[in-house]
Amino acid sequence: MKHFLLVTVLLGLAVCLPGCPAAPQPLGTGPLTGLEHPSLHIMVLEKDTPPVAGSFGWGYALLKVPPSAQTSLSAIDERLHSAMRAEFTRKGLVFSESEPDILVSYAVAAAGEISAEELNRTYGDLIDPALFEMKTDLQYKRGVLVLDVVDRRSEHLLWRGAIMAELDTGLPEERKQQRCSDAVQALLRYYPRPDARVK
Amino acid sequence: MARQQRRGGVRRQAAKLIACVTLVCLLSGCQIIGAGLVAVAGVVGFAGYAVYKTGEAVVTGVGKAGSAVATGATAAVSVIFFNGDFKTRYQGDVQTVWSASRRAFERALLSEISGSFDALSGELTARTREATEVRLRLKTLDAQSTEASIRVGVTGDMRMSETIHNLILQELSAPRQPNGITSSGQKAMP
Repeated sequence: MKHFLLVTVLLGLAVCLPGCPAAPQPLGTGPLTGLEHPSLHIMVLEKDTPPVAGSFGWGYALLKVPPSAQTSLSAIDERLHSAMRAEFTRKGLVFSESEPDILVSYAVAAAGEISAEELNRTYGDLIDPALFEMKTDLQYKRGVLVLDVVDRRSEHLLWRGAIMAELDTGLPEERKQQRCSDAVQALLRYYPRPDARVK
Repeated sequence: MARQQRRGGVRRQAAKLIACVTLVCLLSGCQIIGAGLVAVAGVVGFAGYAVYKTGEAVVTGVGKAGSAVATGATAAVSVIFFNGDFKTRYQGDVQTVWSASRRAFERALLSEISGSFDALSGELTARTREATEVRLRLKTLDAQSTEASIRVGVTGDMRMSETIHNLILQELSAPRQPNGITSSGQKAMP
């Protein structure tokens, strides 16, 4: 019995002391255009793996802006949709306007905050009502971009990723598309889920 | 009796072993255990979801209801574009918003403007030069705010909806003169 314990402890030490080779690495992003000190927050439904095949289409767009903002919401929408379309296509999904397998939504808070409950409520009757019963009280901070992936048939929220970073407000107009693409790419790097391959 | 004692001893040994291995894993930075803890923490807040994160800056935290106020969040205009509908809310009752919207439609040079309202809801429809229908639906939220839904065409057009929305905002914020003329030079509708 003593030998058994000794061997088990030694095996445990041998595996753990150098660090587990299959362990998930901390999330991170590469350099991002016009964004500094990014943070990520990713939720993945455990019972269903988010798909990397099939079709995707657009869900909602939720934008929170200051009342006096001169920002064009439709310009932001076009930039983000362009970035998301490129990334999901790269992952193997095909864009479809009618009856896609998954719905991709986004929320941007340039002012105020966005609560998880507010995001869920935006879907109306398009998602499983069980999601409304979750007591999360989670507040996404001002400056955040949240991407959602929902299975249209099962009505399950499969994946939700949020990125927040300091915005370079002096970024020229022509580089804003690059900023959106970088932010979306940094998030979708962890789609379908963070694993050992990402650093 | 001796068998029971032996079993108890084995359980104690097993518990010690698990505690020892866990401690070693945590001290040595084994990330499977670390990630597991994050996942467990996540499950507490989001049943059925694994949570992965870096930094604390994205969220103000789980279980901090009302933190939007506590963190000094600024006032914001919320716009939702979903299934072709451009949804937002305006300050003012249905009558105020309906009147401002009608003036906005006129400023946009839309034709065939028609609609009605009561204390609870309202509707306005019009057509663009290309005969595309523009439809505005209003619903009272409370005495000081009204929910609005703008739809342009059959499938919706965010850019055109936003143009109408901006015109409505301008009309709502335009100071009204006693003779019913707004600062934008439009005659106020009843």
